[in-house]
Amino acid sequence: MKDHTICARDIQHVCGLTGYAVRNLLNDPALSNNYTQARGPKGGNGRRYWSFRSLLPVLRQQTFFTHAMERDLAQIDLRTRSKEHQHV
Amino acid sequence: MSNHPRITLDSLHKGEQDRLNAIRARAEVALAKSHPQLKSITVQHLLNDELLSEPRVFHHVVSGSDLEIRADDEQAISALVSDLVTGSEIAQRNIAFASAELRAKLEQDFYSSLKPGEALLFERAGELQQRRDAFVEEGLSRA
Repeated sequence: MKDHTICARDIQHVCGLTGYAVRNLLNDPALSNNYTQARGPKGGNGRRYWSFRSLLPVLRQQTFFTHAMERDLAQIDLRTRSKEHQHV
Repeated sequence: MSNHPRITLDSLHKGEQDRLNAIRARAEVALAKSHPQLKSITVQHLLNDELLSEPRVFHHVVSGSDLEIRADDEQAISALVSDLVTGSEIAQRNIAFASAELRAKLEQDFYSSLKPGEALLFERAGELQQRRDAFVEEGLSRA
């Protein structure tokens, strides 16, 4: 679980996508290996996290994906992994 | 467990492949130094599949940053290799199998080192098994 670091919100923010586009993107079967956080006391679905390793091949196939976005996602990945208290 | 190593490997660029190969060569040496008992097929599995799945390596390969790991940093590489071996079930089984032979030999040594009747005394005191395990563990840690 330690390498599942990037959530849909991160991808949406970094790539400047709509929520609908992100949901379409993440329906890719190559991304079926993800970690789902337990839902909170107020309900709703748990946030899902992907590893940078499994996200990158899928994102690199997208036309909008640039090198800067890749660098930003790598930063998020590094930051989440080096945090003391992770989401898991 | 690495789920899509092939997809990930194929999506790497030239510079990334070079960085991965540099790490891979150092990791192979460190692996041979720290775990000589691993079979070559296990080593291949670790280097081909598990190495790129390691988040530190992947981050270095993709972003080129030296924050977590660097090809010429021996300490980081050996820490990486020991993490890989600890995390890999196949490597753990390989090590367990290699040590099972040694363990059997050490048990034999333990029994032959006892004086006649001593084994029975220990058995009656209920500490034979404990002494044997201590002997074997000591031998394993020395090896």
